[in-house]
Amino acid sequence: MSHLPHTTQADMDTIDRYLASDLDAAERIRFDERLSNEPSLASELARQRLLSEALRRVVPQPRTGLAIDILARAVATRGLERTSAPSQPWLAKPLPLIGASLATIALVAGTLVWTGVKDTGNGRREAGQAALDAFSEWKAVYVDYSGRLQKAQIDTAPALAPKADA
Amino acid sequence: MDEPITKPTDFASQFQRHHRSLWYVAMSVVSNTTDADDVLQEAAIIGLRKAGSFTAGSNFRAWMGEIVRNVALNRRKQSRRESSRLGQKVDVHQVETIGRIDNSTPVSQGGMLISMQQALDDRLLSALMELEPAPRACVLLRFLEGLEYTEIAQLLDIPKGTAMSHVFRSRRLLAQSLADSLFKAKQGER
Repeated sequence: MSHLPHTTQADMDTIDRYLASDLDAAERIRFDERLSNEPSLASELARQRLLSEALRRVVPQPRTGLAIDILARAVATRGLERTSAPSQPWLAKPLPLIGASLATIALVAGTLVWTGVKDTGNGRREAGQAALDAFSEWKAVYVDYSGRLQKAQIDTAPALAPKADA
Repeated sequence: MDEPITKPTDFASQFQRHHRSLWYVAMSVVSNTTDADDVLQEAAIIGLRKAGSFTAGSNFRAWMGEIVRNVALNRRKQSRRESSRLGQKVDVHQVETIGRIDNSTPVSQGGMLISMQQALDDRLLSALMELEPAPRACVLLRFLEGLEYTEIAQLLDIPKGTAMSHVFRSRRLLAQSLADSLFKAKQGER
């Protein structure tokens, strides 16, 4: 166990501002001078820099905009009328409560993770746009309006007449 | 001072602006990223319903901060009740979040040596989780969000001096835990 030397709150504040590049030129020169003359202050600066970097590394960051997008789309396409049996049960309760307002938040903020309120969720998070992308597949579809049966393009050989039974 | 909330989009844009700091407040209380998400969502719905009571010219972040704190505290109580009902002494959610609990011995479950960096990070995270919610919130808001002490005090509804001393004491504890880890690691090398 090693005990750290005591640093005053005023010095700690200056270290904060130093690390945030918040000192003006004169203050910075004075502080740099002190750093070269006071090894304990220099060690404290190094410790606080290390701590600051480590905290940024270990503490999780807030997530943004996952499934709320789906809710927003659902609300936008389905409208806000109250239905007795909505196709998505998790929309049943919140819609009458918050309706258009939540949809607006969803569209504008995009910062929430929708899971349903109380018993409206199924226990899992909706995956949002990421899931739509992952499970979507692009396909080209051609529609023939000619009214006649068409051969496939690769089927270029003339069709054989059916063999008559001997 | 913030504009009045006259329509949902006002609320949405204000909420978006302060989303990160509010999330750290929630995170400080529930100690779990998933719960913090839920807290923020629930708080947003409550905030929106109460938007009419927001006084124009007051501070939106402080107003929303109170809602977030209350929702988070309720969730924590509920989570503790559930844990005790199940006869568990350990807060399951907390363990889940911390994930890597204090590894004073730098050996992982598989018997492999874990890196020095990982050991330091684990030690720091567990020291952070040992702090009380208010000091933890102060540290996160100061270090990760770069908020001024006045802003932290408003958000957490505590005096500025308290916010300052929370940060001062907590950073010392955290730095000490890092120093101890390094000290142990150096001894281990010998």
